[in-house]
Amino acid sequence: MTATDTAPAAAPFRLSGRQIVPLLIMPILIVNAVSFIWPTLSLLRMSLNEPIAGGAIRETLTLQTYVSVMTDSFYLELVWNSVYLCSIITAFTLLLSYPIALFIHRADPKWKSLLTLMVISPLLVSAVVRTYGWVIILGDQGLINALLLGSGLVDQPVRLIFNNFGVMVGLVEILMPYMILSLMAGFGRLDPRLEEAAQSLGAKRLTTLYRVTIPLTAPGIALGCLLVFVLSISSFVTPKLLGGGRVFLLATEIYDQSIVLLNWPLAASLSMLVLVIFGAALVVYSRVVKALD
Amino acid sequence: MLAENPIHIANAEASDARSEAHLQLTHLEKRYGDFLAVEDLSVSVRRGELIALLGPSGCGKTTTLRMIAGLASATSGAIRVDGREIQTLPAHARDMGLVFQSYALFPHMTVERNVAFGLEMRRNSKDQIAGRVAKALELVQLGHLAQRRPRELSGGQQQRVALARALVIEPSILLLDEPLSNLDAKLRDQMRVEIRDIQQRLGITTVFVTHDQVEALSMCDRIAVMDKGRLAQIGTPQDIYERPATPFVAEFVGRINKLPGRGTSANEITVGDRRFGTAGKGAANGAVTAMIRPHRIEIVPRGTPADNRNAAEGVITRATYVGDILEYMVALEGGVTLAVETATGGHRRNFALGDEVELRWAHEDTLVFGADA
Ligand SMILES: Nc1ncnc2c1ncn2[C@@H]1O[C@H](COP(=O)(O)OP(=O)(O)OP(=O)(O)O)[C@@H](O)[C@H]1O
Ligand SMILES: [Mg+2]
Repeated sequence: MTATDTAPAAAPFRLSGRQIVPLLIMPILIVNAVSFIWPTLSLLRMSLNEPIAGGAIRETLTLQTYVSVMTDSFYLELVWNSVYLCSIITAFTLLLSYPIALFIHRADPKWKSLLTLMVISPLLVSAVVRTYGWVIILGDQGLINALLLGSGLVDQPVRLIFNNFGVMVGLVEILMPYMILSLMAGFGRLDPRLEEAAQSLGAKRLTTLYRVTIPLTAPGIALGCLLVFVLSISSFVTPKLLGGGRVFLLATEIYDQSIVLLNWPLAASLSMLVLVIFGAALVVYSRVVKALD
Repeated sequence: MLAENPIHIANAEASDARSEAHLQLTHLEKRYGDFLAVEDLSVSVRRGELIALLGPSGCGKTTTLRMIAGLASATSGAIRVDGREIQTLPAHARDMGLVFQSYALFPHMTVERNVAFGLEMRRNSKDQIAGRVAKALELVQLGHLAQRRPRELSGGQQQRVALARALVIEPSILLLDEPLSNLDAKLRDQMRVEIRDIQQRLGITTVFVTHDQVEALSMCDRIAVMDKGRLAQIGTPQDIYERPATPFVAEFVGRINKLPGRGTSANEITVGDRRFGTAGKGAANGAVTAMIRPHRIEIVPRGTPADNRNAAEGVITRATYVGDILEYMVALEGGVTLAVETATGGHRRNFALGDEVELRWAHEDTLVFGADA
């Protein structure tokens, strides 16, 4: 026993902790470099090229596309619309997800995994399919309008899709699992004893919720909001299908510019703009997290 | 400490006659699945009384407290405050101050905000809150840490914040779940006095959970000893210590020697071929266990003239110096070994290993229980 234990020199390779850490993070660094950094850099390069009518591109280094985006009120409104709509979507997603996450967190351990499974099961179905589901529900001949017309409440179908409302409904539903999971991950600090302590000190349920429960779960709330905001800004299929070409958002515009109009430099510079928005969201997030601590 | 306040014991007995029950538990039961955490617990606490809930780990003390506070529902039985059933009353409406065993301080608030919380719920004015919070923190000697977060405090400091948070609201009933368990001996003594003082001054009916018998004996008007969810005995500290109802209580409230013997009459037993007088209430003609507290036994040199106490000869097999007391192990003939404690001090005669000595103790210090103990 001692003979083998005291002979580490026999091992041909021995790595210290210092050496092993870079080795362990190497794979993710490579993946990141190949799948994120390199495409981002080529997008940046593309955004500096000059588009020529008809879809051709002239290789050059110009800020012309950026200048035209920044001075065109259509694009400024587009950015504002996207941020605004996605903020509202984030808020609604949070509002609808919080009670569910809290319920699952407090559920009997027997049911907890089943409930969690139910929350993430929609993710097994592609967002495209789920979006079409919403088309069926919200469309002029859809479920809701059939009910409204049938009950005589309205005599014209109510416009529920191909507008901001439809996009919001679809995105909120699609993004809820992400929000619920983030919230649940952040519920670790939520010791039930703390809520009991608040109650024993005279706090009613609602007071306990906003004085103790919500502040304690704020890190999870911040994380969920960041995630949902970023996902909604970059989501494309749902706004495209439920917006029906009438809701203009950054992601759909990027698609149109690159695939339909073949204006790659413009699409690339809009993509860089999205990246800036992500960066801003991250800054806000880390400010919030720091303030919470 | 016991001798120190004979007045309030007399008071307690006087109010017993009036029998003014402030908090009353009747046949309280708590079941977790098949497991009975609290069983048939009936305790009546008088207004302004400090009662200890004493028992080993897992005997149901916290569970009982949680039921009183309204944080757990009783499976059956009743909890009454001033004669009124309160089971349906939510925790926030019960006006009870609770110190959690795990403190349960709000991690996102400073010490000051933690303590202020209960007063804010009671809609006190800002100035009033600030004043009372400062006073409460002064009381637990934490005024200088008011702006810290709980995680920046030591365990004992956190415990004192929890205490201040419960005390500051001056509840009509105070529930303390081992509120001093994490403090050093000196601070614990100070806090005991403080708690007792506030409790007396404001006349707060208090249930004090502890598994430290010294704490229970020294602070409380009465002690309820619990064993496996049941009430083993309830009484004054003297009752519990001098006249334990069961061997469990006798062993739990202090060290005690056990001697197997046989009862020969109501106040005499035989151990081997020796006869000992007892405190009485012994069962004649059956196997019994006699119990004697180590410090109630005196060691005298052999040949000391006999008195009217029990006597047994033995040899000292161990002597341990523990500061204020000397602990001897004395082997009696016939294989029984008794622990004996004597106070240390210059004027006392100390015995050495191997000394042949005689033990003496009073008849009434010989407690007798059925042998199944
Ligand atoms: N939620 C629960 N589910 C099942 N059993 C429980 C639950 N809470 C407590 N118990 C059991 O009930 C018994 C009493 O627990 P309790 O917390 O009241 O003990 P205690 O007297 O406060 O002990 P300690 O001195 O260690 O704090 C224990 O055996 C415990 O395992
Ligand atoms: Mg406990």
